[in-house]
Amino acid sequence: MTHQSHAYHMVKPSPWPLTGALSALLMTSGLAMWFHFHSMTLLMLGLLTNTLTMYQWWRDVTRESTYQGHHTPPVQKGLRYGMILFITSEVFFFAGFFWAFYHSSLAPTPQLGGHWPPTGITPLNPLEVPLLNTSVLLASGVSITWAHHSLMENNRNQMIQALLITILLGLYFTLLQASEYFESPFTISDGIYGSTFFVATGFHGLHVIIGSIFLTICFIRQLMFHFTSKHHFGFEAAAWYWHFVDVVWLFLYVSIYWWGS
Amino acid sequence: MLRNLLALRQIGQRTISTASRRHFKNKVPEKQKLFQEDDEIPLYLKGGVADALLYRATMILTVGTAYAIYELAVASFPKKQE
Repeated sequence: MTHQSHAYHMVKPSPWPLTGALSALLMTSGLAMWFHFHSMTLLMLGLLTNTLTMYQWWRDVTRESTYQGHHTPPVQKGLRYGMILFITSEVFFFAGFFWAFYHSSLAPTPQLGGHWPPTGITPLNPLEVPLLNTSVLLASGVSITWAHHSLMENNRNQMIQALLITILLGLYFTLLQASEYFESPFTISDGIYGSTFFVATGFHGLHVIIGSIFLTICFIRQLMFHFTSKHHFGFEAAAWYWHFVDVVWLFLYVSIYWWGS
Repeated sequence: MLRNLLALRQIGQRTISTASRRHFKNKVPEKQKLFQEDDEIPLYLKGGVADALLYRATMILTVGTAYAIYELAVASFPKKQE
């Protein structure tokens, strides 16, 4: 059936790049409609079509790899490079927000009272929920490593348990952070403090949610026997992403929560 | 004392080594057979009816909406009468 004489994966034509691009158009124009004309219809359509695209695109990748065997060692190597480059781009994304934070906090303007935190801002106590959040994410880093080692040692049930613990810890972090947002004495419109705080921690929270979804997909795939002890790159990619999310939090905690108070 | 500890570890390992007694059977070989069938059906439709429904829904929602916006844009600028 296959006639290629090389180990690379020549991907067959697919409709998902088109639907993905169109969904991006719908999402962006949807945002404009929401901001200026108070209608969320287009945005919701955009989010729905984006989700449909992502689901089917990645479902097809699983079909190409687990079911059709196209992910040979050189192909996997390319995927590793790809994931590393993507995470690197995310590092630069967050670097911008840290730059903004340090720019404003290292030399606070007279309008802010000449000090940081600015006048009128009561920062959150770094030793309360933020510290708990730190321990939750660090623990999840341990549990995901446990899951990986279990997987490599063919220990199916322990892998499932450890991955479940990781996902639950991620959920716990998200719930704790959501309650912090709700209870916070300052808002995003409270000057540059509010802007830097909520944009940086907000994007981080979004990444925790994305990472949790990625881990949940891996959990389902592990239940369905997709991963072997030698070949489980999807899980490794999720683990790398999760560690990245953890490291960003550590920087956030030390810079914004701790030093910034 | 150490022997008891080792015995405990052995019991723990014994329950772990058996596959989950719940409903998860390894269906990967069946799926491999299904998706490797030489039938010219594209990958994104090869899974069955659900694939086709999802594909159709996605295309209608994306292409349909983008086309609708295009027509709206055209309709927003009336043709000049000579």
